Parts: sequence; C-alpha cells; structure tokens
Amino acid sequence: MLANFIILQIITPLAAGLLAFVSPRRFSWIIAAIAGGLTLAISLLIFQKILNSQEAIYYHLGGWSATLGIEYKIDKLNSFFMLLISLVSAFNIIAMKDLINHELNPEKFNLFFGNLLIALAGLLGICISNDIFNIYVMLEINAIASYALVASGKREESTKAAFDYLIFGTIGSTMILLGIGFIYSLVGSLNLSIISDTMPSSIDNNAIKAGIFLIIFGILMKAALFPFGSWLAKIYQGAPSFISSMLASSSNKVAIYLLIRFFFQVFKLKEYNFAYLDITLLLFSVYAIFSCSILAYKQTNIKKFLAYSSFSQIGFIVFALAIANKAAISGLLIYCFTHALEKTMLFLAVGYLAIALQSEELDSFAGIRKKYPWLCILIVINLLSNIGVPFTAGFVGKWQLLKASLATDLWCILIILIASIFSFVYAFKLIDLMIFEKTDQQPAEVKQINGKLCLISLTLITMINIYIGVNNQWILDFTNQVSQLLLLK
Amino acid sequence: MIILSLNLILPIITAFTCFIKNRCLMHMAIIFLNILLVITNVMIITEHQNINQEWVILHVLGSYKISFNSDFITSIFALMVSGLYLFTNLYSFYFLKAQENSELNKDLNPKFYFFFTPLAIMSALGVAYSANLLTLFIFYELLTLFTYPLVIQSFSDHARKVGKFYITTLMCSSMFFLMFALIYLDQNYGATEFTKEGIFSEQTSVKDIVILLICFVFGFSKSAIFPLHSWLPKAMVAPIPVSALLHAVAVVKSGIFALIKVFVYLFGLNYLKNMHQQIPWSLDWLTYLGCFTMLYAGFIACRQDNLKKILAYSTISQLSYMIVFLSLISNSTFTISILQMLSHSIAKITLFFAVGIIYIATHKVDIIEMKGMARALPLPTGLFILAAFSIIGLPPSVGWILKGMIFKSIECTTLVEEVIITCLIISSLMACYYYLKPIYFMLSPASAQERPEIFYNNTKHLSLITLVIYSLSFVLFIYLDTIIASIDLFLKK
Repeated sequence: MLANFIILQIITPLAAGLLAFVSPRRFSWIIAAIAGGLTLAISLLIFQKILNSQEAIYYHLGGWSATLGIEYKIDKLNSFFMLLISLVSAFNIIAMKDLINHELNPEKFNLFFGNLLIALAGLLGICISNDIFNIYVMLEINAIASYALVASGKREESTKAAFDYLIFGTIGSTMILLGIGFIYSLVGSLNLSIISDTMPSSIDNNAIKAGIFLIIFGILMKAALFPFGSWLAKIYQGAPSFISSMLASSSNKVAIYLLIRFFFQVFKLKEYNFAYLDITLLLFSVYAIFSCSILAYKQTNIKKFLAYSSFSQIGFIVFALAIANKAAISGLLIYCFTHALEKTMLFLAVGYLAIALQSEELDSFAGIRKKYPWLCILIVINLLSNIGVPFTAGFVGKWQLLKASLATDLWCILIILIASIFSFVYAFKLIDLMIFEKTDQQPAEVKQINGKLCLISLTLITMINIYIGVNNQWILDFTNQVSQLLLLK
Repeated sequence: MIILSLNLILPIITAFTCFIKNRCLMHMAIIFLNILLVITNVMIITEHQNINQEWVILHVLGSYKISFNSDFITSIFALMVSGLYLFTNLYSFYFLKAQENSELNKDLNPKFYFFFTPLAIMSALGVAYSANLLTLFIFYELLTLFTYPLVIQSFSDHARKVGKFYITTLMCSSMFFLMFALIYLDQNYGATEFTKEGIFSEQTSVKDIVILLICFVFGFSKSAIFPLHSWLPKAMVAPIPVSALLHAVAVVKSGIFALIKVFVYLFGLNYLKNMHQQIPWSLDWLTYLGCFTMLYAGFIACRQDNLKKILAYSTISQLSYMIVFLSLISNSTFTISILQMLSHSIAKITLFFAVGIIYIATHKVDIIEMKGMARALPLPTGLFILAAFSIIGLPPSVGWILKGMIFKSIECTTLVEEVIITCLIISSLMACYYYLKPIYFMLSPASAQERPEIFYNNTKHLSLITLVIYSLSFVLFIYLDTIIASIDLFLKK
C-alpha cells in the first residue's frame, strides 16, 4: 500500500474542514458527510491492515527521524480507537442533517462544519501520534474547535456552556503542557517510545513524578471522571445535542485512550506501582460510579440525566483500567466502544425528541411511546445496553469487567454488581417514564421534524450495538490481543 | 430440534396476533396457536428420549452458547405451563367480556395482556428448556421484564408503585446473585453447561458450593423464599387472570423450577447427596429457611381479610414446601417436589379463577362479605372449596394423596426431619384455618341485607372453564404412577 496512506486519516478531515470554511453554506453538510465517510473508510482499511500484522506501522512526518521529528505510529490499540471515533462521527454527521436547522444559526453552517471536521481531525491526531507534544497540539486543536462547536448553539445556555468548557478545558490542557515540560526537560525527547525507554532509570526523579502526575491529572479532567468532570454536566446540557453526543462519545474516549497509553506503555505506572495511582483511580472510579448513578436518578433534565449516566460509565471504564488484568483491558476496550455507540445514539435521540417536544424536562417525555414508537424502542435498547442486558453490546463489556474484577478480588465484583443495580435503577426510571407512564394531560404542541436520515442513522448505530451483543467473538479476540500486547511490555 | 424451537416461535407469533383488529379472529388465532403449543409439548414429552440433540441458537462470549435441551422433568413443567396458559386464555376472553359489560374497573387491558402474556410464557418455557446457566439466566430476566407491564397494566398509582417494587426486587436480586454465580462458575470451573453429573468434582471445596447455593436460592427470588418474598403479595394488584397465570403458575413456578434445574443439572443430585451426608449443614440451612418461610407465610395468611392476599401468602407457604423437599435431596422427596409443583399449580389457578368469578359477579373480595355466596354462586363456591381442599390436603383431591406421600417420605430420625414434620403439621393446620375461614363465611346463610348483590349474571362459561381446569387434577391423579415412575427412571439414568 502507499507509504503515505496513514497520514490521510488526519489530512482528510483537516482538509475537508478548511474546505468547509470557504464553501457555500448549502454544501457544507455534504462536504462533512463525504469527509466523515472517507475517514471511516480509511480507518477501516487501517484497522484491517493492522488486524493481521504483528508489527506496528510507523510514519515519519516530513521524513524527519523520530528523535527530532514527529512520528506517527499505528498499532492495534490506537487503530481500534480511531475506528471507534470515525465510526461514531460518521453516524453523528449523518444524523445531524435533520437537527442542525433547529439547533444552529443557518448562517454559520460552514463555520460549524469546518470546526466539526477540524475537531475530528484533532481527535484522530491524538490517537495516531507517537509524539507527546504533537498529542498536546492535537488536543488543543480539538479543544478549541470544540469550544466553538459548543458555542454554536442557538440557545443562551450554549454560550455559557462554551465559556465553562473553555475554562475547564484550558485548565486540563495547561496541566498536560506543564507535565510535558517537566518530562522534556529531563528526558530530552518528545517521542513516546524514547520516553518509555528511559523510564526505568528516571522514574525516581521527582520532576518526572510531578510531570507524570500533572499529565495524568489533566487527562482525567479531559476524560470526565466525575470529581474532575462535574462541570461537564452543564456543558453537555448547554451544547447542541449532536455536540454533546460527540463530547460524550469521542472526546472522552480519546482521553481514555491516552490514559491507557500512558498508564501501560509510556510510563508503565502499573509496573512501578507509582504513587498508589491504581488505588487512587479505583477510589475515584467507585466514587464516580455511585455518585453519578445517584445524581442521574435525581435529574429532572434529560440531557443532564444522560450526562451523569455517561460519567458513571466512565467510572466503570476507569475501574477496569485500575484493575488492569487481561480481562479488564479487554472489557475496558469493549466498554469504550459500546459506550460511544450508546451515548451517541442516546444524545442524538434525546436531542431529536427535545426539539420535537420543545422541552428538555424529563416530565415532558412521559408516555411518548405512542407518538414516537420506533425512537422509543431504540432508546430502550440503548438504555438496556447501558445496564448490560444480554444480547446487547453492553453485556459483553460488563461480562469481561465482572470476570476481571472477580479475578482481582471479591469486593471488586461486589462493587461492580451493586453498581450494575444502581445503573439499572436509573436507566429503568427513564424506560418506565417513556413507555409505561400514562399521561392525562394533552400533549404540548409537537414540532414536526423531517427526521428520516436521523432515524436511519440511529437505527444503524443500534444495529451495530445488537450485532456486537450477538456476535462478539471477533471483538473479544481482538481486545484480548490488545491486552496481551499492553501487559507484555 | 425443530420441535424445541416451536416453544419459542409459537408464543412470539401469539404475541403479535394482538394486532389483529377482528376480535373473534384474534381469539381463534390465539387459541389455535395455544393448542399447537400444548401439542408440541405433549410430543416432546412422549419423544423426549429421542431428542438428545441440543438446539444451539448462537455462540456468545467465546465458550458460551444459547441453547436448549429437553428432558422429562423439563417437558412436564413446560406442558403444565402451556396447558394452563391455554385455559387462562379461554378464561380471560370471557373475563374481558364480563369486564366490558359491568361497571368494574377496567383493570385488564386487552392489548397489554395479549401482547405480554405470550412473551412471558415464552420466557418461562425458555427457562424450562434451557441447556446452560447463561440461557436460563437470560430467560429468567426476560420473564421479569415481560411480566412488569402485566403487573402495572391498570396504571393506577398503587399499581405503578407496586410495579416498581416488583421489578426492583426481582431484577436486583437476580442481577446481583445470579450474575455473581455465573462469573464465579466461569472463573473457577469454566463451564455452566447443564449435565446430569454436575460440573463439580470431589475436590471442590464445600465453601464454594455453599456460596453458589446461597446465590442460587436468593438469585431465583421468584421462588419467594423468606427475605425476598414480599413482592408476591404486592403483585396481586394485577388483574385476576394475570395473577392466576403469572403469580401462581408461570413466575413463581419458574423460580422453583430454575432452582430444581440448577440442583439437578449443575450440582448433580448425587453430588449434593454425598455432600449432605458428609457435611449436613451445607444444605440444612436451606431446609430451615424453607420451614421458617412456610410458617411465617402461613401465619401472615391467617391474619388476612382479602381473598387475593390469602391466596398470595398461601402460595408463598406452599412454595416453601417444594424448597424444603428439594433441600432434602433424596429420590422420593425430589419426586414430591415435582408433584407438589404440578398439583399446587392446578389447585391455585382454580382458586384464583373462582375468586375471579366471585369478584366479577359480586364485586367482592373480602372474606367478611362472602356470606351467602354458596347460595348466590354455587358452582364457583364449590370449586373454591374443592381446590382449597386440594391445597390443604383433605380428600377428595390429589393434594390429599400428596400429603400422604409427604408424611410417608419423612422418617423422623434426625433433628431436621423432626423440625420439618412439626412445621408441616403446624402449617397444615394454619392452611386449614385460613382456607376454612372464607369457606365458612361462604357457606353460612346470609340475612336479606347481607346477601351479595349480583351485578353480572353470565358467569357460567367462566365457571365451566374453571371446572375443566380443576378436572385436570384428576388427569394428574390418573397419571400419577406413570409420572412417579418416569421421574424415578429419570433420576436413576
């Protein structure tokens, strides 16, 4: 295959983004859709290529060697995440078509889609890059584009949310940058492989320790682990629904990816038992799981409900990361994948319904089964997947996670089981409300939306979810390979 | 193989017949499909020796599969469920008609009822025929999910509150305990297949077995064992055909049957027998818990004034008979457990239907208001009395023969057996009390003011169907020896 092929993964959305800025407004969605489709196709090709090869693929940007220049590296781990991000984004872009007219200012379509594609390029860039500073740059590209995206909503909350997000994101980025500075000053290289090689001798250095701590802390903020990410609930609520869907599905998955990469490969924190980080993460994640489940149950705003549900799932993911045995990493990857699918679908569906019902309050969703039967079925399937019911993708992840936690300790599995009950309780609250609530009062004025594309896209996402739930051998095999790779080194 | 798949396909088709507009056509289709279902299960029972093949739907999670298998006891349970389901449907057609023509609360919602009941039945059949623990778990959870709409179908505030309690108790207990058991088995033994020999070896530590036993007993909380029993009386808020079918037949019996399956196919009866001989307490705790539930539920039942509540607590008490006899682990007690399950189902559904007729005709469910009922509604009252006799164990009924077998099977040599005998006697006396109390009121003459007012006259079809159901217990009586012989054969094989 062409030597320069893998760079297309980033160039495509980046170039399409720039094109979207200057193109007429009516073409911008089409450009975005084509770029999304191409990105998905490229990531599928890369995924397929990496699936059968044992070696990682390296690419040196501009021909500069790794010690000086920027190196891109594709292995099983990041190709999986790139596939996840481009898949979710492609569906998101398709589904957006029907919602943008209601949530955005039509005059800014080209700016919006330009930003969207650049944010996508940033996300993919974080995954693909093997250079710590390049990761930071991509992180910032994504973050700045995301601030603009959050602000693009018509509603007043959007601007406020964007401001919150700006401050919040900048704190996280600054920490990462500081950490990078510490590490660069001592290691003398920005390449992840080189940093990783020097780690055994330099891990005892206090400056390195501080650097690692800052980086991990910054990433955790980006990953929306609860105590760090509690601002995000407001932001998810204020942003347009498709942007919340992107934030909840792709952005925090990238942070999780970075966490995995740094945790297992670059700093090898598990090996060195660094500052009891795994115990700390475990405590944070348990706190996140339970407090967010309870908060989700208490919410009256449906987007906040989903936001807290998402944080609680992130808690599960970080829990798996902290346990870190073979099944746990496999479970963690599957969990990331299914969580991205679920949350994309749920935020989009809820956004659709919120436009139609002209309300985001949970009460106005009571008994909507009659008006939107198909959408309700889809939402229920995704909520069930969120709980981890058999035949949905969520079950596979939960199964692996439970196996992993039993292998670790008895109380770990008890925590996860009780946490599953919690997530059942809050998810069932919404199912019960939508399907079985009988409303006496006449429904409020319903806005008609021409939502065929949106529904098709949501249906496809749900079908992928069920497909994984039913036929899951391949994903288990793949994730087991990844976890072997991660734990070997 | 194909014949096993019919058990899942037919109920699903039945569920979608509820979208047929023409009501007569819909009823015909439902009855037709139900009869097919019964025939399927009869064929499985007669040919179960020939069906050795497992029917695998799909492979999941690596080594696991969703698969089904048949055996004598599974098919007899399936036949019971499908047979009683057929009659319940007949009953509910007339029940709906009566409900439309009277001023009763429109509790039974036809769309909900005809859509979700077949799905619930499908889940119960799935529990029956499942060939491994994962399949059983999935269908067990489905049963909870599909019965939830049936419980809340009147949509009153009370019903919704009860529904929430129902699903939370059942789902949480099964998600917690069963999921744990599944993972634990996966981790330590790598298999959850159901085989006659069980999956444990002599080296397995007793601690493991006891942990798993606890998980299964409390995980299958549909069997209404003591701390997790309170959902059952509450769920009586459902309309009568639903309570009858689900809370006397499909749901609670699925719980018991799942426990039976796990005992027979996962632990293996021989293994448990050996373990029980070596370390008695490993199973005795279950016996004591069952005895306690028996007495506790009986005691509460004595204090109830509402007929439906009495029936609910009596169900809990009778279910613990089965658990107690299951926990004794011998061939004769195992047989009794199965027979008790069959006879109790028939008697309990008759009781519910009789109460339903009384409710439809007179709008009364409290026992104080039952005065003069024997004169006003002779047939339902008679059926109520007969079925109650069967449950108490008085002649002429199958229950009487069973009671004899029960007392014969216990030798009274150990402390446990003495405790059981004592509990059985006390609980039988309590059953006498709480059933004879309403019967006494029904038979006692009423003055002119007290005489129940009849709102709905046309109950003869309903009574007839109930009578037919009750007469099924005589079929059981005729085949009693065959069934016992078959179970013995099954256990020896």
